[in-house]
Amino acid sequence: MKKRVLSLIMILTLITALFAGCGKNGNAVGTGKGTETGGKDAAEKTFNGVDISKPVTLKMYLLGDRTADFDKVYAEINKRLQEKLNATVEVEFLSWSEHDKKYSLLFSGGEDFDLIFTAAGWGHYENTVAMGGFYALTKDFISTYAPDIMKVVPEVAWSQATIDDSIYMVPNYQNEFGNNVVGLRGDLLQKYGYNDITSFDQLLEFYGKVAAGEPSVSPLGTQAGGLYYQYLLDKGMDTVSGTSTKELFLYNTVNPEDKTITYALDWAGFTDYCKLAKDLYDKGYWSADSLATTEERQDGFLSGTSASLIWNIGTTETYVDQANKEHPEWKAQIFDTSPSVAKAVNAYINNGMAINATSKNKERAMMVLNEFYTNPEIQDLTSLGIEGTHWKAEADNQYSVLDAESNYGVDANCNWGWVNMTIKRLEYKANPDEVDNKVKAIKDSWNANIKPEHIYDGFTFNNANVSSQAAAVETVLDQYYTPLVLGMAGDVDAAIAELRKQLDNAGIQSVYDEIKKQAESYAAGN
Amino acid sequence: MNENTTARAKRIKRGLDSRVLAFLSYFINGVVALFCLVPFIMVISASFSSEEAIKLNGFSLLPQNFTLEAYSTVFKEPSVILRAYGVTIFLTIFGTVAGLFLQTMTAYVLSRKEFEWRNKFSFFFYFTTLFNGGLVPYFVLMTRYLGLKDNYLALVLPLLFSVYNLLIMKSYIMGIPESLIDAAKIDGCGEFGTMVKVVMPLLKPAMATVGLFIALAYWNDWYNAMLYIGKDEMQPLQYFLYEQVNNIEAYKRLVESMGGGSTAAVSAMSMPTQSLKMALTVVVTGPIILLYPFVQRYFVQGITIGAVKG
Repeated sequence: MKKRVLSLIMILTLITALFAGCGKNGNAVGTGKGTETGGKDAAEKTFNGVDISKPVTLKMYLLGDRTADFDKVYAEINKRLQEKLNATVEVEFLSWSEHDKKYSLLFSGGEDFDLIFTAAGWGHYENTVAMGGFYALTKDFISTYAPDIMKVVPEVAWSQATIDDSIYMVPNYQNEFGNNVVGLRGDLLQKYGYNDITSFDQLLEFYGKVAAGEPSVSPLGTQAGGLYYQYLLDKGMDTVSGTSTKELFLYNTVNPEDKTITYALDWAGFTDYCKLAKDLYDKGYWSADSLATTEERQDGFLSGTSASLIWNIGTTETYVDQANKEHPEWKAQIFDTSPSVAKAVNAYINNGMAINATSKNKERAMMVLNEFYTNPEIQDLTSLGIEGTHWKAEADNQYSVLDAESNYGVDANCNWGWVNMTIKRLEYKANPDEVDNKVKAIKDSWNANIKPEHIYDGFTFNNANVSSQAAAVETVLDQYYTPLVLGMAGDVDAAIAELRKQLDNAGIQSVYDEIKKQAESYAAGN
Repeated sequence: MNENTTARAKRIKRGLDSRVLAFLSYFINGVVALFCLVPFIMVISASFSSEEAIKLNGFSLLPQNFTLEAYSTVFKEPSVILRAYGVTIFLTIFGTVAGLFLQTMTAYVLSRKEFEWRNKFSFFFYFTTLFNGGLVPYFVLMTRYLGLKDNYLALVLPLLFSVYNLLIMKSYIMGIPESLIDAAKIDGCGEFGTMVKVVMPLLKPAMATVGLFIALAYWNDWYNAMLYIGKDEMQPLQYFLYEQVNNIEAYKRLVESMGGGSTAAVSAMSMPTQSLKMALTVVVTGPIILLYPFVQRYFVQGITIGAVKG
């Protein structure tokens, strides 16, 4: 009996050992070691005067999932990289479900790789820099190994990417506007005699007519929250980004000289808006459900219960197009309610690429980034796929989609880190409709009048030092602040006084002091 | 209830009071059971409803605008999902059998008074529930030192042992009369034989309970797969489905932020999400629910009826 048990255990251990052995051999991936490409004479190859005779394979991490044709497209890209730089890339994906956890593990776990996608805020940029994961890119390094990137990326993008006097990412270069526009029902505009909406006040006026005259359509439905942002935009104010303080702290974004941070309750504009909101809510501009709705922002607009949709221009266009496809009689259209106000461009560091500090091929990695970034052929491949299979070239550097199955998609393969608007193709519209033309006109007007950068545009408040007060403030805001800006708090002056008292008790003063302190040191350091 | 009591119950004519009591208790139990079923029925209904209907009217007891769209999204590539099913079933069966055996054996040893260091060992096990090295050292150990990347052992080993189950098992074994074990010894049974032939049969209810816990843990585990499994064809069902939902949501967010009006954007917006989640829930919970009836009877069974008389 005993013997048999012993032998059983022995066998089990053996099997386990075997399995573990498999595992060990299974992951010997040859990265970072120069894997010889067969039969190629190591002729003297150079790039910008640098010797690149040793062939290398670079490992690159991207976010998202591998589309069906991804490997096919990257085989094409590798052909070109091989020819020009004697290098190929091997791509691994961190899926949407795992990147939050695994991103930092790649660095702390000592994974052997060279390039990785990163982004300020949502893409782990600051945290990874803090843990020393990225290689610091000096201007010398960049201009030696990526001379063309140096020519494209503007100075402001580099300064956004700077943390403690060093740059750790190559930011992407495209002007994305983060502010919202308003999508409106064209049939209602016509009915009440409007051709265009050119100001915030005019928008409210039109809303009033809808509220009074349309029993089944509400001006804003359950989405009243967006209106306050249109109001702030109109007043040239922006919120200090950071967590848990909502719109409590504002700064004058259109005047770079003005470095004060305003506490919303001390700003007359806030009281004015709350009074306005109460008035509008009482007149039925939006429904009581706005406080806690399960609807998504576009639902009311698409189902016809709300006359407007307030969102960024890209998304608004998507849904306005969808609404017009389903209900051509609506003639929905897009409007900029503050055309005279200069619009801010999203930070360029919202998408970018970084080099692993422990990479064995930093120079070659930088050269590869240079190709991705500035070689139009590779830019097209990464963004659209293979010409003739996934897309067709049109005049003026435009494209039209052939890839009906979305086997590669458009901008769906984490190519966002090296988007370069100077060479990126735009979609060709065979018969541009009114919405297309309007969007183009709005974007052109914005691009012609970009808001000069305010030092606080790139500032993010970190509430770690006042986390307990910040948490207390957050609960107060949910209870007292949100109903106030939605006009549901009854007597406005009394409600603001109550909010002020509650916030004082929660310790808003120490949060405010901390924000001011951080903002000052941020402004001094940049 | 054994046969004697039921037979006697038939013979005694029940009075009105006990009949009222029986009716009431059945009624209340029935209502509570129904309440437990309602959410699940809603999930099933929602998985057959159209996305728009859910958005407009919320969830309901009956499917609205009956459609199979969500399921067709889930089973877009049936071979892939079936393979993920296979992986999960294999892991669950293998892990449950091995884990149950190991945990029962450990609990048995720890419960034996002859084992001098049993308290020290118990403390050693318990200590691991209070303190651990954290995620990074654990990850490094698993990937660099044990080389368990893309290896099924990475999914089996972490769940093989649960201290919580060990405590359940141990306290249960403590309830078995020592005289039984002594008797086995006197009859010439070895240590291992005593455990397998004498103790284990008495542990059926506890083993069923613990086995179910282990099986559920393996069935529901996606976290280890997230950390250690990179290859798509090795993914267990839970993680595979979790990724699907996340991908669709991420894709929608992406399209929102990337600028709209493009051909790709409009098609992305019409993908089901709410109904898809419900369909996934049904796909995932279906098989494991079938496990319950099989182990159910062990829960109810008495423990040592007729084992030791007097």
